[in-house]
Amino acid sequence: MQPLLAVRELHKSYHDGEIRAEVLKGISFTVNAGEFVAIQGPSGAGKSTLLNLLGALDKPDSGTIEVDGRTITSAITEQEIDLFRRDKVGFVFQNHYLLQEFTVLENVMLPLRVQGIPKEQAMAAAAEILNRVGLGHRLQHLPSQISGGESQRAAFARAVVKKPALILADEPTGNLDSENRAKFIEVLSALQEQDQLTVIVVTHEQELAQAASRRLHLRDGQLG
Amino acid sequence: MRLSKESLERLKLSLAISYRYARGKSRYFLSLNAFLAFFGVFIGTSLLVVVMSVFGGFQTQLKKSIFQFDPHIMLTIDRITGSEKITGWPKWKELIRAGLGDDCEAVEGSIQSPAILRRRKYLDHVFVRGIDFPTSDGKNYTLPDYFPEIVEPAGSRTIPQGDFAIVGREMALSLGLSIGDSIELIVPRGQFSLTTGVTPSIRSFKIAAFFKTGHYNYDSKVVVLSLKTTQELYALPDAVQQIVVRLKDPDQLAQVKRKVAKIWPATIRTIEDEQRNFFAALRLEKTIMMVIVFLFIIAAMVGIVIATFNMVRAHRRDIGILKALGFTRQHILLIFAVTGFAMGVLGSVLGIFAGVGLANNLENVLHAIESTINFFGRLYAEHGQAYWADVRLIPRDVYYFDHLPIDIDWRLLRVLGIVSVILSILAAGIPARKASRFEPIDIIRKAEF
Repeated sequence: MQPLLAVRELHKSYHDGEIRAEVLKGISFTVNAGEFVAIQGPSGAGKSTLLNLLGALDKPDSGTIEVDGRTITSAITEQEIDLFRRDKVGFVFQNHYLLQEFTVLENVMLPLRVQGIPKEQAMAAAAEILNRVGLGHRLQHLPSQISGGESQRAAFARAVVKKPALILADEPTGNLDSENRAKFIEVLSALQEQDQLTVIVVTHEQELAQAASRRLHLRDGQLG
Repeated sequence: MRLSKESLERLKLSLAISYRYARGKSRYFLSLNAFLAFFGVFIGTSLLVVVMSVFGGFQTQLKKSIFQFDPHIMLTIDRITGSEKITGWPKWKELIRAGLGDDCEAVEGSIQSPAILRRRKYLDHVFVRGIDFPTSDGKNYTLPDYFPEIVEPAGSRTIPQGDFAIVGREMALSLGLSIGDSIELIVPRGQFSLTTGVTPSIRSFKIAAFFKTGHYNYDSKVVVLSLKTTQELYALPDAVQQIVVRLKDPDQLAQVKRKVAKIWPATIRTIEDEQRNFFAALRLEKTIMMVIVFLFIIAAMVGIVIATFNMVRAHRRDIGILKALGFTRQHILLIFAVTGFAMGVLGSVLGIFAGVGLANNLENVLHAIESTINFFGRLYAEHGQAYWADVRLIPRDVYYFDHLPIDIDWRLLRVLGIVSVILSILAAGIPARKASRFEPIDIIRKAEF
């Protein structure tokens, strides 16, 4: 079976004046469709950098990332990046980053609307996914009117609403208390299983890592 | 170019986001930030229109008073003094009239010369202007249409033939003249000669009417006589000192002067040559006003730049997220530029209309303000047992204009509109372009730490 994600010989380094820090040193791995993968490792190991490269938020120095038939290399164009982000990946960050002027429903509609899906259709899909993450009663609330845990679940709904090939989550429970953390993991696991989502999550949290079907350890820029 | 259904949806989304950012958390139509940007441009543009209209009105009125009273083109023989007599002038008059055709309103012989006016013990230097008035009944002269307004006898357009003079209203006021009063004019008789010098001629005239041009120099210094009387006074029988041409359209001065030059062999001077400094000053004023106009708009547009920068700064994190969701640079540019652009264009267009409305009613507005001030002033004076002198925002006794002259230059307003649109694009576009170039990774990294 063709893997959904294939990472080959991925290198990434950052420059600060004369100093060059090599963060990723030739990483290769694959992820199959419907897999839930947790990437763990100490701080500074390059977990977030890897996730940013997988989501085309950053460009690799060398190596390739292949996601559902689209390839990311150092030569990828701006237009290809826009289309890739729009159609192939959904992001969940440590902070929810919901747009403050928009209701929860409107926030979740955004990924569909930018794909050109008409408002009514996008609204129905967004309402459905919000119901599934337990926010059916918060549709018309502004982000400032809901709790941190609810905001993070809304951010998760925003990431999955367009049914992307790959969902990337960077420390999604990092800012949540234990109760909200448990609730988030429960929702994530349930949706991943029901919809066979392909999820890659970077986390320090054992509880979240244990919910994953596979765990990768990143140390010193290499997978261990 | 036709937009696909998806592109149209994305465009609608970008505009919706833009409007939401412009409204912010305000319950009203616009956020305070966006409203202030709009208001700055609106007020700036409308005041500008009012100032330019009043300023233009003054210039037009001033020009009109000069063009109304002075001949537009003067043909003389003597290049230096213009006092050489022209005999056979009716022949030249016909030639010139035929050569100019529809361009000219009138071609006439004229005498214009300095004189001393005596009224009892009072002496003053004045200019005598002899005009070839037409006569219909052989007893009275009819004043031509271009001749300034007669203020006394009000509306009269005839004067009796003979030794009658028309003087300006200001001269009448300063000398205490009434209709029917006598003045004496002392002038050099005939032509100056080195051997005999000049013989003075003294003659008495009755005041037939008072005219008003609205130009102080004319209204206080010019005595108008019929050409025939002037010829007798100056001992220039059947001769004139100059042939004067009045144009239907004074803006055609240069073209008509070229036509006249093909007919008239001697000196040709135009009103612009005569009043060179005055017209140069008007042109300079206009240029300076245009520069001020430009600076005014620039200042108003700085408000748009600041508002757009504020909006971008307040939504930096959103830009990162929107880009992570697949919004392109063009979408981000549109989201942030459209609000500033709309504020600039809307502010300018509404400002222009408001300015035109205010300019057209400025006199009423000023009178209303004046009445309000005076009402409260009198009320205060009554209660405080004090004296209140009424305030006059438009003094009715100011000489030049008896009403506030307004001239709305639509061509200038069109330029103002176009410049505002261009500046609005730049003012909103520059910060929006910066926003569109933000990299989501930079924003998210900064926000995470």
